Amino acid sequence: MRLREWFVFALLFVFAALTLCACKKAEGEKKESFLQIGEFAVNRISADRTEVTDGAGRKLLLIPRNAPMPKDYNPNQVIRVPVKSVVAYGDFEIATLRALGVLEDTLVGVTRPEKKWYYDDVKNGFKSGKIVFLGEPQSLDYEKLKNQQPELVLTWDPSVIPMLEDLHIPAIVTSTPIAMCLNARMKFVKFLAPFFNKDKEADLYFDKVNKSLIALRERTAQSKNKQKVMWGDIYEKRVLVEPGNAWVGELLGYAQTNYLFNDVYGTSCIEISVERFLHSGEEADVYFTYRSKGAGATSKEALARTNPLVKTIRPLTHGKVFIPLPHYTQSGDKLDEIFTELAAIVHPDVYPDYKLKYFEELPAKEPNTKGK
Amino acid sequence: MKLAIYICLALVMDLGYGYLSIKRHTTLFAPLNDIGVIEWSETYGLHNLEHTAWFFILIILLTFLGVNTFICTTDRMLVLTRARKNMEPLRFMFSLAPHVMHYAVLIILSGYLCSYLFSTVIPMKSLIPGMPVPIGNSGLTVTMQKLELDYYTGRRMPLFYNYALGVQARLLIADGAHQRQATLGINDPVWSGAYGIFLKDYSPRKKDGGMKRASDRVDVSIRKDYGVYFYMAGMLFFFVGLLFYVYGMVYFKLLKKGTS
Repeated sequence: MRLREWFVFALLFVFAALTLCACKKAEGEKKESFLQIGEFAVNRISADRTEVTDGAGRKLLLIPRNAPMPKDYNPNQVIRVPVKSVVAYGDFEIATLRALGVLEDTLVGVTRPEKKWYYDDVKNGFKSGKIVFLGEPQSLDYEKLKNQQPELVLTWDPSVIPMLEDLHIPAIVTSTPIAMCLNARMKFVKFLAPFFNKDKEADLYFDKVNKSLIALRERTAQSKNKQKVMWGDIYEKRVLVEPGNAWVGELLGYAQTNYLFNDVYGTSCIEISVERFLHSGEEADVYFTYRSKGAGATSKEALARTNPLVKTIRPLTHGKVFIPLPHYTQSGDKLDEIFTELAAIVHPDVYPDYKLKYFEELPAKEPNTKGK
Repeated sequence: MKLAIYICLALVMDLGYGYLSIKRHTTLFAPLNDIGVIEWSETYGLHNLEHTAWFFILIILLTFLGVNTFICTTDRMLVLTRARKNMEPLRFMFSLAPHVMHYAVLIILSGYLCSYLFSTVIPMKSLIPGMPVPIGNSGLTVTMQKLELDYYTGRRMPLFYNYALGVQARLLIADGAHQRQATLGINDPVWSGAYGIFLKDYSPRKKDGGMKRASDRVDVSIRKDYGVYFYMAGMLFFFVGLLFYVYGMVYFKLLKKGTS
């Protein structure tokens, strides 16, 4: 009996000592060694080795351009940094390259044709021939892709990974099974920074966005209205919304609103039932739709025509409806402005005279039929 | 005995906190299955101690419980062995049953420890039809030959109409010298030697979804995990112990009835 007690105490002592040592080590190395960004991660193993985890959980190793190829890694998952040429699928990734100040020097291929770009840096890249349209994501032209000799592909589509591995082009998956939270959205720039040795720029950008978040929180706290907000759309065959865990859901919470899909959890643009959508629609004050003017959302009346069920929701009869402007999705490098704009939309009383840049409020009727 | 009760109470409190922690910070704990406990502790674990401390406390408590159980059970086993000469063989066997179950729990726990410490995991490999994919350093190559999706066409759950609720991926697994076919499905992994291939995700999720963004593919994770054999063996031992325990109870009850 006595022996057992001694044994237990000895074990307790060893574990307590180990935990204390580990805590001390973690405190000392906390900031520089490991960074988790939602489902992404950056682990600085040493000065010459940084391991990153992409949105699909794949690990890739970043090494300096002149370093020898490590033997313990699959060469397809080793990326030499700073990366000099990138192919990117998503608007947000491209905007993040802009935030890091590397877009013009590194972007060589995209999956959206020239006429669908709104920012000059990408347009100029097309004009000079540096940036090439590689085809739609579902039918990528791999010959063109190979000709561009990218050192990295940023893709949301994991199905291209086997082909890219066959072409010996390293790739990272930027989509995640669960929607990107607000923290991950703001820190994504810190995930891409080590690929270009732009950590300082990433920190500055993050600080700027973080300041805007703090500012909008303080300002919206003064508002007397707590608006009820919904974000999504009814399409012909499905109803898609932004879940509460997505960055817009969290942001609207920070902006002192009641986001009506807070109970919905999952991927971005998640499908829910029509009944659930209409239930929230009964009490909502503000409605953000995915549709743009090009997709028929020119007025509340026009929106109601696209689906008779939508016309029953409160924002169309007594509230406000906002649509994203075409350049909104390509403006991910202006997160601070977008955050402030969303706060201004839901709290016009504390943002008087705010002029919208990324969203537009829908009029009740088509402008040309007004007054008839 | 007292110590075991205190440890169990502490475990309940710790796991209660752990439940809330996992629920609120799922992304912190999700990589634990893929990267193992040591790498996870060095990265996610120690950098988020306010949310992960319960896990380290859990390991400590489970170790104490394990050591305590082992010592107590072995103590009793030794007493029983010494008293064996004065017992009927059947009674001796039945009285061993609870101790077999205790040892079984220890084997199951060490199986989990083995899994989290020594398993080799490739967290994600995408397979597309006709494209051979090498699996790490295993020497295996996996090719998805065909993807068969079973779409829901019933009317009782309108939200799931035309959703792919069943998936079967026909795989060709080659190890250089031999090749064989296998079918991978949800909760239906494929085994090749020590390697297990598990379905993680698949695409498309919906027939004629209108917003189909990706081509046919399945995402798999590949694990080489010897811990599985431990917990399989532990479960078998537990079952045998339980069988003897219940049988013994019934046997002695009937015996008592017969003699009275």
